[in-house]
Amino acid sequence: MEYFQFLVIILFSPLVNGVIKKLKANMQGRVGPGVLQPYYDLLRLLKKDMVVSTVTSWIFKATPYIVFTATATAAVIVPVLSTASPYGMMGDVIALIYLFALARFFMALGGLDAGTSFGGEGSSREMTVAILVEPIMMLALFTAAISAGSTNIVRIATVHPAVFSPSHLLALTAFMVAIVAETGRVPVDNPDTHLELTMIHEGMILEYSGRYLALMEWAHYMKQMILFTLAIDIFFPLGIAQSGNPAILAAAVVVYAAKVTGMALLMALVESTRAKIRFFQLPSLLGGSFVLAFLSLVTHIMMGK
Amino acid sequence: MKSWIEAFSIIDFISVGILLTAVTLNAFKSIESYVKAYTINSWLLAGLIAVVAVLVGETHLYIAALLTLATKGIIIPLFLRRIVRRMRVTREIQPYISNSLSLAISGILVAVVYASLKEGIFITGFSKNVLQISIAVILISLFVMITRKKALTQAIGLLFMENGLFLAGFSLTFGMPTMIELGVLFDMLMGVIILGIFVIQIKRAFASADLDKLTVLKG
Amino acid sequence: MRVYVLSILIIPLVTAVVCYNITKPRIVGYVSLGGTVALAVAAFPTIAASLSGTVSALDDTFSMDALSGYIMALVIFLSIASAAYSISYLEHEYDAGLTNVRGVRTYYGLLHLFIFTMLLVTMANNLAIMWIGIEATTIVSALLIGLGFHKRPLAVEAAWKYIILCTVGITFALLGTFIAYYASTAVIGTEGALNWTTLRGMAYRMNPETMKLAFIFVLVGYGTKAGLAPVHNWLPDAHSQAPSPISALLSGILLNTAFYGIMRFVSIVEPSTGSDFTGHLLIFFGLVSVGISAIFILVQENYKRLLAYSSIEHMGIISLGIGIGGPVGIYGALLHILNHALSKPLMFFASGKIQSRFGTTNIANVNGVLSSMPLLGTLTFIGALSLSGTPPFNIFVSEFTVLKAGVDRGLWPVVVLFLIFVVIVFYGMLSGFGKMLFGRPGDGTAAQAGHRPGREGAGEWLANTVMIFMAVAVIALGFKVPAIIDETIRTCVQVLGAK
Repeated sequence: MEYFQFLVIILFSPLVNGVIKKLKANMQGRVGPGVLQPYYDLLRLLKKDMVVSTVTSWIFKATPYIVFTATATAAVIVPVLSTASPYGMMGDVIALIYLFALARFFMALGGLDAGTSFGGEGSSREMTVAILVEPIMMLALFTAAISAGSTNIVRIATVHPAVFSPSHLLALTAFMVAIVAETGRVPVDNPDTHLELTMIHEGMILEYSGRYLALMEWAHYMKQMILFTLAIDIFFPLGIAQSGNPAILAAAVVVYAAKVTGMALLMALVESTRAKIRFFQLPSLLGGSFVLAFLSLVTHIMMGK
Repeated sequence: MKSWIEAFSIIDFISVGILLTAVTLNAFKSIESYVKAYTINSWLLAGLIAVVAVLVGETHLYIAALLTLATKGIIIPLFLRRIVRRMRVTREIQPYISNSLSLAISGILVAVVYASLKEGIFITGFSKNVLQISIAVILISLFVMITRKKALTQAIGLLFMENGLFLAGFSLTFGMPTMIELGVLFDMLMGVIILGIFVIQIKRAFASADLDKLTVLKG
Repeated sequence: MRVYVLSILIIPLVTAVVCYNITKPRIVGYVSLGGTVALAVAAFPTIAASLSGTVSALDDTFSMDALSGYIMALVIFLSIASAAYSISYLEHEYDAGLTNVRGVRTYYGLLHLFIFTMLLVTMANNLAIMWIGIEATTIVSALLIGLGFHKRPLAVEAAWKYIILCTVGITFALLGTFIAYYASTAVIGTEGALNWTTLRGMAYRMNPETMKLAFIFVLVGYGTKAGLAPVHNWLPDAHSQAPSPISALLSGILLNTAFYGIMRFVSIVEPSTGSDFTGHLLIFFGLVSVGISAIFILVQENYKRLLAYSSIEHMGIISLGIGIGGPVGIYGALLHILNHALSKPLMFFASGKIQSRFGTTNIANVNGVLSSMPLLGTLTFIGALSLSGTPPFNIFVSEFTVLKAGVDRGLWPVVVLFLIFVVIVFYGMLSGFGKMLFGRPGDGTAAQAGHRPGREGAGEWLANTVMIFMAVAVIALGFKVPAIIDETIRTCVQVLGAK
């Protein structure tokens, strides 16, 4: 069972996105699309023909596969339901960040490849956000790693059952802001529209269609769910299964589902209560979050907890 | 109750909260946010004293917590709000150092304080962490006072510094006899009132509370 | 005895309230003067008793020994002088339309409140109450500087700087007090841990490292209040923008009460850390103060600011005296406190008169004071000579004592620097005031605003008497220090524990 827990992420990530959309719609007083809508979208896209620009190179065609594979590999590394995973030894926080960076790098290249201005805009913005966000993620994760004594995610997940000290709380807050930025949600980017103002992620994938688009969207959903799982594993892994016992596993499934739903709710709340900030204000927001992460590290070192 | 407090290191949480409100002073631009940050800071301070009162069991600490809450948590914020309304000014104009940079510098200040007080500190009081945090708060508020232009922001920075000092003194000595605490608090209250008076006088005399204009006397 | 002690505190409070409620501006001044005389009478027995032994009241909350008595005597003397001078000063301001009835009442009320706070500082036995008193003096004097007169933006600016800088400094002093409390509770528990009488006995048992830290904070804090460089920036503004009688009080005695706090702390800290640590710090700050003020005195264009920098210089000398230490050094410092408290207010009073006569505080615009106002000119000349350290006036004597202490201790670099700075100050002061005193009146003077010759009422007469008295004392003390003062200072030196 532990071998296949990464399938949970691959299969259920569209569902998570659908849940977030539904919750958002409810909060805004709309009915909204069904929770299974992303699945229908993916299936529809897979069946469609592709239109590929003639000025693109092999990068354009390779990117969707690279992005999907890299993200799926990240899914393998992260313990979803159980920490008794055989891939546990590979599950390093640093490796995870690098896998995401790989995917992002190729996405940015793909956006540039078509030579359109929207693609270039999306790519450059994505890279700017990445420069600001990655240090936050690293610092927050490192604080947790230092307190657990290792950067291995499985190890971190088994040491502490929950956020238990001020430095962890600060790191969690900073990490949450980083998640919002990485998944392209309001207030950093608006995932619902294709307006020029809000194009970071959407800008980069604008040229893709059909099968390629399906792969890119799916990879995006997977990345979101992986980040949620990472936050859960590192900051409140209470309830994760530590052995192969079926009863415990079943309980772990329930707990995990509840936690992911909670994260989805949180995301929907944040999106519904905030307006998207202008791009040039992003450094201020992310800078503040960086100071939080820095403080969490310093506090941890000072307090020893 | 006691073990619950210790198990969850409530004291550490509260003191980090105090540090955080001082750091956020750098991030905000509106004076009302400053007042809010000060209010939260004072409430956290009173809360810390109350928690220590429960841990140690001395009654005069409860009184100290109540006094702190009453003066710093209620009276002074109310007074500040009145001043802000009378001055009809709400935003800090462009400070000498931009908000992001001053936020970063505050973070570095905190790290410097921790690093330098790690070794060779022979005073602990009841918690070394609290002492370090209080000194960090004092330095951050000094920094804010230096880099801001509005008189009211300087006054609020001064108030934060006094809070930090109170925390430091408290961590060192578990508070002094109640009479003296009363006197000290009363002094601070009077000081705040006088500062408020002067802020208004500055506005009247210079038609703006911008301290850039207060550079006539030199040499 | 207890009644007398308490009355010292109650009388100024009562006077303050009474003065604030009187509506006739002509009378208020005399009522306030009466209040200060009553205060002197009430305080006399207490001061006399404290000079020979310790007096205490209210459960040891208030306690006075020779040092407190000495400083308190100075406070009261200067209060009388200021109150007497204020009468004519405020009359003039009122007639010139620079203030109204409300302003006059507020002034006198605050004046006595200010006196009350200074008395509180000298009487406090408990270090924290002393702190409360010093903070209270800051608050009340800030009000006195910035308010009461019609919109004067410069005064508001000065008062703002004053209150912000001094409050920051005093906050550090409170931290130092807390650290000292920590050190003392570690030794004797919480009973009476902040009382000076208790601490004096067991000071040698306290942890030296802790006390060093406490002393640093206290020196920075109270040093800001005392006008030691480099934390002196508020002083030139505040003392020059304040009304003259208040400037006299601020320079003459408020700076000294801050030093009183420092001296108390030094005597507690020295037994455990040894006198080198405190001595070196005090000498350093003293030299820096004298040096910086010397430089600024040379370039001053405003005579009130010049006097303010002169205060910084003399505070530096006092700090040097305490830092050099030993009975001679401390004797010199204490004598200097007295001498400065006589000369500086004399000069501020005189400059107040010059200001009201010539309407400007600019040196360049004032000329020929000696010829147009002979009495005032002579008094100013005496004061200027005294402040610049010329023999045979009083300040020369105390400067010389401090110098001698330095030589005795073999601190040659300090002595040399001190001499250089004093010479610079001598030149600066005399050239500045010389420009004003000599020459013919009407040589480019500004309009002699508000001057009504022949308006020599009782107020003017009082002001002149006060100034003449002070000038005579300045000269007399230059020749010989009267036995009673000498005795008192020697007792103070003993109190401070110098061997």
